[in-house]
Amino acid sequence: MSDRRQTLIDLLTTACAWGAGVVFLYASIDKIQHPAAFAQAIANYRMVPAVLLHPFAWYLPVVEAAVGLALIVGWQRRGAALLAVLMTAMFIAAITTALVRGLDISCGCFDTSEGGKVGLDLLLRDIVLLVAAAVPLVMRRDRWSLNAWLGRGQ
Amino acid sequence: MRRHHWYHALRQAGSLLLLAAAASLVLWAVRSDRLPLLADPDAYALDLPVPMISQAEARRFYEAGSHLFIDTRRADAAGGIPGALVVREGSFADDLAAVMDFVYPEDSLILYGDATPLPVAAVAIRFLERGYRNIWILQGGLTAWGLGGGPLREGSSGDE
Repeated sequence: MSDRRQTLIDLLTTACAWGAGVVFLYASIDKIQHPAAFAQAIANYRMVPAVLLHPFAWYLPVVEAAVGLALIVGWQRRGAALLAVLMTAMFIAAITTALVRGLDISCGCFDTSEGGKVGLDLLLRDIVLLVAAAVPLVMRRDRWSLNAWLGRGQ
Repeated sequence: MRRHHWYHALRQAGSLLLLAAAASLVLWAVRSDRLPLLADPDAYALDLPVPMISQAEARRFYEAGSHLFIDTRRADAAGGIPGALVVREGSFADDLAAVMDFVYPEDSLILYGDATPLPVAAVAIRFLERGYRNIWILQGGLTAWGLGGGPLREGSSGDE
């Protein structure tokens, strides 16, 4: 593979990791600030048993923040990308079932207020996020990352 | 090589999850607005598609025989309210067809589950889609019904 092509692939990998990382980090902030409102947003999907609402509302945003930071700085990036893919797949499943069941609810994606209703546009956005998160997961090279600079990323 | 790549990703994901768990515990310990570990299902003003009905009111309707009680729990769930009809989300069309002669859209239905209203709401939505309008969800479900001294029958919900 030519150097130029490899550089383009490295650029694409880093851009996708940064993009997905920023989205995850940004999405976590309001949820960490307002855990009760986020628990309500989860409850509205009617998928999580009541007994798990609070642990889920407390833990998920912190995982999102950790994944976002790891994707941006390039520390444990493949693992972060794997978690990002799994979480986004979970979000897509939740949104799809909400749409199928005709639930008119706010998504609870970026802020826990009433805004951001569940809809097809949200589903498409999450599919784009899924693809972006998958790129750093499947790429073997991780050139511009903290792990690479520390000599453990290749 | 490929196996090593995925093993590496899994190991990193595990370490991130552990790190996040530790951070969550620290956050939970230091924040004054932390949530209790277990949620009270009734503490959330759930965006339910139908209203809830209190145990006392439901009991009055039960004794008057004015409302139909619908058991939405899974087929092998133990016990139930005597006389309740079984209609579950997973087999809604078949279950409704089986009780169609007894349940009309103008009837008043009280739906119940184990305790939480969340799974019951899914069945309520299916009834709404079929044109039923007089639907309530039993607050506290069968658990509260039994604790409150409501009549119970033995056997599985599918025996009715």
